[in-house]
Amino acid sequence: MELTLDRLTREYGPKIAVDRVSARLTPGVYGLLGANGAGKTTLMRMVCGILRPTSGEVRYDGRPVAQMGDAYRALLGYLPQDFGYYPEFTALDFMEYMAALKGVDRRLARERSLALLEEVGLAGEERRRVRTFSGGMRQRLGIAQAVLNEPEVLVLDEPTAGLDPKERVRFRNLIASLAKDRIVLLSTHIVSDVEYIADKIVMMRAGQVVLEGAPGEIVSAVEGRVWEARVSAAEADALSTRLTVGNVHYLESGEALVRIVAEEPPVAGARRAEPTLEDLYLHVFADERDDDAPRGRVRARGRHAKGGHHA
Amino acid sequence: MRALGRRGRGTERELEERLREHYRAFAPEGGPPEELLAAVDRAAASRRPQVGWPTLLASQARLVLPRCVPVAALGIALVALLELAGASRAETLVAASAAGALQALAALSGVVSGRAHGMTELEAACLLNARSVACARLLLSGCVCAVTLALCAAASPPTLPAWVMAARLGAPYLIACAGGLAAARRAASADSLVAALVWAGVTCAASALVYSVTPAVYARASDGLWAGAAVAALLWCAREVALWLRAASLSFEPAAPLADAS
Repeated sequence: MELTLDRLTREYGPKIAVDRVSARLTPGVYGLLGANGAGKTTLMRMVCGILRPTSGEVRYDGRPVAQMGDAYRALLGYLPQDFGYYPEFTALDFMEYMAALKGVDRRLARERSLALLEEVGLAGEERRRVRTFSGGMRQRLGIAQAVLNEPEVLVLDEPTAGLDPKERVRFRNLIASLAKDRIVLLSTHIVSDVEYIADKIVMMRAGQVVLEGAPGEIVSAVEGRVWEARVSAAEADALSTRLTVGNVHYLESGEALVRIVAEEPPVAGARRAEPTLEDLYLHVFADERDDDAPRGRVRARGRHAKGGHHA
Repeated sequence: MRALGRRGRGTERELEERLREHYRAFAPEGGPPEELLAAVDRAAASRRPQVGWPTLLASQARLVLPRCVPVAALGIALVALLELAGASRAETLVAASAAGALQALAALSGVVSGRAHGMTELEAACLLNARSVACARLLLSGCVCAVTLALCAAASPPTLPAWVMAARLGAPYLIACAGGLAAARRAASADSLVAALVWAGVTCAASALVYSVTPAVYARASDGLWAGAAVAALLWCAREVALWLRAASLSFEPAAPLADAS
């Protein structure tokens, strides 16, 4: 079982949303990390075959998924970033409807739907209308429908949005149990979602893969660049404005413990700290703006823009 | 969790492994042996879920029929009641025209609901994808309308030819459907249902109001014009149906806004 992304590119006019992304995915969990506008959703839509690439292709076991058509969709499970529901549906109606579209045998659909609803913590809610669900409940319902057909390729776009910490842990356990003989591609901008369950992390920025590898391996990219220091609260605020500060813990004494990603010791007395994936994320996306405006690289006239990382 | 559809996977896995070995051992230019590819295809097809039109139609019936059938019944009952009450020819035809547009309004609410409620992305990635779903809904609502047409023609007075009833009922229905689909396709997803229903509602109101403005429109002499309008509306509707199905399979293609590049 192998999913190959071969120089996938997606352009919207002059904007390049995904730029020549290549990867070879085998069974396991792949965490796709990136800020808003990095191209994650566009990439995932192309992997699912619902958005045509401008160039490049997705292949499953050597065969282009565009040619496979329904054969590929039969082994695919997908949870979009934003998904809706029919207002008149109950949770069980929704699951059985999706089971019908996924070709799950009708006799098994109900049994499987109820089992999955219990698995995601919605036992007892099956007769309730989806429109009365909280955001977290709807997200869990979305996760449940994604695995209805026991997919071989599971694509989850921001699956933990709206989930509380306890639900997030439950979700991680669920994904870890599903990934044994599946390809799971999971996008998020919350590092802790993938830090412990991903076999490989892929970091995207402006449509390109900028870093990829096992979590332990890529974290070494910020080895020696993570510092912890004890400063005054005012100094902590000042540091936050000019440096990449990962965490500030204010103390009652008027001081603060800060964690900073920087090339050199940021303040006197700063000591090196063991880097984490979150530190790496902050380092890679240090100059990203906080707004949610979509961004893509603009193609230079007459030639491909250079840079980027290929698998 | 209980496994489904695992039979035959051992054989298929062996074939897949042979195929993989071939790719890794040789340059891709030659390609794998045709018989090996065909064997993998057969193995994959044997374990692929078998779904057909009955399953698809059954899955969509719940979303379409509860909207269409009551309105259809209302239209048929109205025509039958007017016949029993001895209504004039014009009154029966006005009622039929309005019922046709109303039928379209009910049909559009089912056909467009996937887009309006943000379900197309989920449906697009399923075995029975968004295009299949759209096709099934159009087929179901079209069948309901065809039955409505036939029953209205049967319920109408003997002095009213069936083709006249069909034209009076069909023209507003097809105009409402065509315009509704066009409006829904052009509108943003969240507004698509409202756009479609507004168009259909306006068509329904116009069908009823035109009688008070120009009664001659419902006179016997205009039967041919109505038939012509129905044919033209049918062609327009066919075009909009084709565009709607095309849009269903290309939901995320340009002119997707740049905000989709996320």
